[in-house]
Amino acid sequence: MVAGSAATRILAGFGAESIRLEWPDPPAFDSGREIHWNCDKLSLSLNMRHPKALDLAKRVVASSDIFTESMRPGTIGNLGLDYETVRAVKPNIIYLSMSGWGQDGPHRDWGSYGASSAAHSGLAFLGGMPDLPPCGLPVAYADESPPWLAASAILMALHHRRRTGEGMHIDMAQTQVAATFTRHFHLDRSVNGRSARREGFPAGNTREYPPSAPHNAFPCRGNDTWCVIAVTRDEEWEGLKEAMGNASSAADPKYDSAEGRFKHRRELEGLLAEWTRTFERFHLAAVLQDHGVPAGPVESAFDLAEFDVQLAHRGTFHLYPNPDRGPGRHKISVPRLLKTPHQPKRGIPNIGQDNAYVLHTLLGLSNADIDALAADGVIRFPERSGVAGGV
Amino acid sequence: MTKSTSTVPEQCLDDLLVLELGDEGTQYCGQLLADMGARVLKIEPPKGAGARHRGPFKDDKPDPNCSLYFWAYNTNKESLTLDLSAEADRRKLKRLAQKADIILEDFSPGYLETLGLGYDQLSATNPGLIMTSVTPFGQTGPLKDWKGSDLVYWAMGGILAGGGYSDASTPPLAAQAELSYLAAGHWSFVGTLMALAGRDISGEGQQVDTSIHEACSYVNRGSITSFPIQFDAKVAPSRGSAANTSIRCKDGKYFIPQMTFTNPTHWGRLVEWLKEEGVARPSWDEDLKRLTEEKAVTQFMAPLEGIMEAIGEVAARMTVEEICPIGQKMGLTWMVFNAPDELVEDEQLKYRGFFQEVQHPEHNTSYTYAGEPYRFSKAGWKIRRRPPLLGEDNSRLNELIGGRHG
Repeated sequence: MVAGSAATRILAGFGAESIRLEWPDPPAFDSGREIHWNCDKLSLSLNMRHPKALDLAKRVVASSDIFTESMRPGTIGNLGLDYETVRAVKPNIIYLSMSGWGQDGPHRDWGSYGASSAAHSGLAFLGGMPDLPPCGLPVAYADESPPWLAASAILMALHHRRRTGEGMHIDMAQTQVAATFTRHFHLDRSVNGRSARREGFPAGNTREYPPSAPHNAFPCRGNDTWCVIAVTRDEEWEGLKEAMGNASSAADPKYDSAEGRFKHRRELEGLLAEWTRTFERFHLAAVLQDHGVPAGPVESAFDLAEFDVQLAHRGTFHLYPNPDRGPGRHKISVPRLLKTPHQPKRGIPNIGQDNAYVLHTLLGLSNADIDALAADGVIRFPERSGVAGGV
Repeated sequence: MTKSTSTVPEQCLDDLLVLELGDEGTQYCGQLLADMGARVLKIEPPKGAGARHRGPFKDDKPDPNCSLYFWAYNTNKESLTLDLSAEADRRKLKRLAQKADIILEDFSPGYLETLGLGYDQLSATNPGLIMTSVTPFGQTGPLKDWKGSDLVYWAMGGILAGGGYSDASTPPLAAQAELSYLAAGHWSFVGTLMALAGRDISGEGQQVDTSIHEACSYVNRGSITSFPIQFDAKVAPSRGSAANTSIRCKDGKYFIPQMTFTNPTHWGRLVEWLKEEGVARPSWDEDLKRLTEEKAVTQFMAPLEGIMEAIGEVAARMTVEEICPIGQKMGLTWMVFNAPDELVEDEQLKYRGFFQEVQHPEHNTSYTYAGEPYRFSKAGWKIRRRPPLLGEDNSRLNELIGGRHG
C-alpha cells in the first residue's frame, strides 16, 4: 500500500537504508506512482507464503530500526509479523501501521482509498458550485499526505528513542489523518452551530474569509488556458489597476474597498476577463506579479515538468534509473536541508535486486545459503540483473 | 537547549523550544510540533498574526482572540508580541534565539537578514539552531519574489487544472480546503524533524528551505513521468473527473461509488445486486465473462456500459446512509460526501476518541477540536491548552531570556 512505502521513501532519500520486502507474484500494481514511491530503496524479494520466509523476515527486522506496514488490520499478524512478535526480536523497534480506518473500531475492516477518504473527511465536499454535485479534489491528497505525517511520526519516535532507548507502536489511519484537514469547519459547528452543508456553499473560487475579489481563474489567449488572480488587499488592487493601464472601467469607486470589490465581484470579474483574454497566461502572470498582484498560470502536469522555470531552478525533478525501464523523472522531497539534503543516490530497484546485499552483507548468510533459498523458492532474483547487489 | 533527561518524557518533543515567527505559512507546522510536546512561542506583531484577523469568527464578530481559523492551527502555543521594527525588541528576539532549538519563519526571502536575524546571524552563537523557512516559491530561483495565495499555488502546482466541472461554463475550481498551506505544513514538518534527526547525531543545526509552490507540485500525480521519459497524458486528471463520479441519492446527498476492482469477484457481486434491483443491462454477463477471461478488469472505472447510470437509478430510491454500506459489503469503497463538520457523528472516529473537548476558560465553556493524526503507544499527541490570546504570555519573556543563559 502507498502509505508505508511513500513514508519510507522520504527516509530513504535522506540517507536511511530502506528495504522493501516484496514478492513479484501476484504482480504489484505497477503504475508510475508506485515506482515513484520506491525511489532510493533496496528490494528484497521474499515469498511470505513459504514456511522458511518468516524466520528470514525476522532476521531482517532484527537488524532494523523501523518497521512499517500498511495492510488491512490483522493481515500482518497472520503473516507472523505483528508488533508484539517483532518487538520480541527487536525490543526498541519503531513500528508504524498505516491502515484505512485504524487498528480498532467498527469500521477497521472497511476499504479506503484517496478519493473515498477525501469524500469521508469533507475535503471533497468543499469543491464545487451551489446546486451542482461536489467536484471533489482533483488530486489524491488523502493518499499523498498521510505518508508525510507517517515519516514525521517515525522521526519523532526516533527522537524519543534517542532520549529513552525505547521503541513504540504508531497506529495511523488514512481517514483519521484526513479528518484533521478540515479543522476550522469543525470549530464553526461547535462554536457557531454552523454546518458547511448550507445553501450557496461552497461557491466555486469565491472566498469570503477574508473577502477577496477579484479571486478566480480568468481565461487567457488560447483554448482552455487560464491565469488565476487573487486580490485581497487594497495595494494589490491598486497594482492590478495599474497593470490594466488604469482602465476607466476599473476606476469606479465602488471597487475601492475590499468589501466593495467582494460585493460587486461578478461584475468586476466579468470586466477583468475581457482584459485577460488578450494575454498569454504565463506572460499575464508575470505582468501582474511585476505589479505586486498574486497571480499565476494554471499549469498542467506537463507544464510543471517542462515549463515551470522555478521548479527547474529548484531541481524538483530528478532522473531516477531503473534497470528494466530506463530513467524516469521523479520529484525529490520538498524541504531543502541546506547541510544534509535529499540525495537521490540510488535508482528504483527491481524486485529482489538487493537480495544479495541484504542477505549476505547485512545478515551474513553464505552464498550457498542464499542459493539454497532461491532454489527453495523463498527468494527470487530478478531475471535481468541476476545476483548483482544493489550497492 | 535540550534538557537532560532524568525523567520519562510525557511527549516525544517536550525537550524542544520553538520560536514561530510566522503566520499562514508556519502555523500548521508549529501546531504539529506543539501538539507533540514542543514548547512553541508564537512571536506575533503587536496587532497579532494575520490569521487572527481572518474569519470565521466566534459569533461572526471580528476579534483577534476569536478567529476560528486561528484557533484551528494554534493549539498548545504561547503568544508573545514583539515589534521587530524596533531595535529593543529585536534584541529580545536574539536572546530568545540563543535558547531556541527551532525557529519557524515565513517572511520574504532575505527579510530576516536585513534585520540581523537571518540564519547565519542567529546560528553563529547557537550552532544547534534549526531554522525552517516557508516561503511561496522558496529562498532561491527566478520566481522567489513572486507573491502567492492558496489559489495561485493550486494553479501553479498543477492541481487546479483538474478541478471543477467538464462543462466549460465554469472555470477551473479550487476546493475551499487550503491544500497549499496543509502541504507546506506537512513538508516543513518533515524537513524540521529530519534536521532534528541530523542534529541528534551531529549536534549541528541547519536551515530548511520549503517552497509552498513545490509542496503543491508534489501532490500532482500527473507530472510523475512514466518510462521512458515522456509525458503520459492518461495519468493527468481532466477537468471534472471527480464530479463525474459522484452519484446523487434520494436525500439529495452524494456519494462516490469508487470502483477499485483489483478483485473481479467484486464485479460479479455488484452485477448480481444490480440484477436484484432490476436495473442490470442484458449485455453485462457476457461482457463480464469476456473481461475476466481477458484479464481486462481495470483498476478504476467500470468498462461495463451503463453501470454508473444503473447505480444512479438505484441511488434515486435510497438514502446515502442506506446505499454506502451495501457497497462496503460488496467490497466496494462507496463513501458519502460528508460535510466536514458531519464527522463528529462518525462512528469510527467516535470509537477512536478522535474529537477533543478543549476548555476556553474566558468563554466558560469547551469547544470541539479535531484530534490526533497518529496514535502513539507512548509519549504521543495531546492538546494541553487552547490557542493563546494575543500577547497572553508576554509576562514570561523576562523569565525566558533571563535565567541560566541570560
